[in-house]
Amino acid sequence: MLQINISEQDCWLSSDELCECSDISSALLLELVEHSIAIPLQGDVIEQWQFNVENLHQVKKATRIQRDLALDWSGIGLILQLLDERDQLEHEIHRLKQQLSRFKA
Amino acid sequence: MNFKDYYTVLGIDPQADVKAVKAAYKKLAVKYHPDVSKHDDAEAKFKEIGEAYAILSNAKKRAEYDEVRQHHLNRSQRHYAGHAGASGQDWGQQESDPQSDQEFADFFNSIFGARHSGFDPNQQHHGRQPQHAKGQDVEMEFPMFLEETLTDTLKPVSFTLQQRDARGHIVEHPKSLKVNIPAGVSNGERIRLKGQGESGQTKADNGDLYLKIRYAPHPLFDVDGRNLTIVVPVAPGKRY
Repeated sequence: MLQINISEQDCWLSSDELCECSDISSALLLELVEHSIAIPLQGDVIEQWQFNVENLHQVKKATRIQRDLALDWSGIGLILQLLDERDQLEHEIHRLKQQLSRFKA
Repeated sequence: MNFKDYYTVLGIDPQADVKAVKAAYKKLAVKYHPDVSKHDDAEAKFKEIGEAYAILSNAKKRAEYDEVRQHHLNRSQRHYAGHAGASGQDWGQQESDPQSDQEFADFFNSIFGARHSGFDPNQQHHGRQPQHAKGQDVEMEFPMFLEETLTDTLKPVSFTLQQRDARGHIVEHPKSLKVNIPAGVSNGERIRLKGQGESGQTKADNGDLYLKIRYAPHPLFDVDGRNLTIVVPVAPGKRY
């Protein structure tokens, strides 16, 4: 059975890698960063930017939504922000339900 | 092979103009887009909607489809006339199980051919891709116990990839890996396994596999970011 070790390289992506993996141009990456769809975790200029896997996931999600629903990037940024908030609230509800179940037990 | 009524799929009248087709598609696409929707069958439903839109928004394809539809309608009417007293189900409700992607794809391909339509109903979502497209990414939830995240942990991962054979049918390929999950992974974090997703076309790269870490509920602790919390019940006035 194939064994895979997760290296540091798998956790971080440069701007070029992010563009290649998500099939976007660097100009579009700049626009996505402008709308906070992708948020570089390190670096001051695009050549030094470092992204995590979550950013790659968000960029792919954003480009799919743009392709399928033909929305503008600010609208997509808002959608992603609301989806994120929904996930956090669901997580919070789950956590509170878990706490409550302990009290009942 | 079952007939699919694309007008019913989009909830529009067969006489609807392109504008109405587009409006209906947009409304349903927003509702069922797999990145947005929480519906159980969002992916299948979205494919169905995308497929209907790809045909009905194109005048030439729509004309071809309308001919097939008319032929089916005439045949159904003859069939019902010959079975007087049978249930009053109308032809539009004869559709197959909506879960059946393969049947849907067969129907679609039988009319337009997947390679020439510019639309592949089995592609993730419904975007258009070049022939040498990278394989699809795969994401799966990966449950872990809190204790397992304290050190590097070697965990088996089994999943099934869906691929098309030479005849265009979907074939399932089970795959197993062992992954060394690094210590300190957090709840909800994604781990990317490069090239472990679905195979790319011809010489294109494989897609990636994403493991979304999901902590199993702990009997005592809750995880809040990097912190652990525990609720200790105390009775008022009691000395501890």
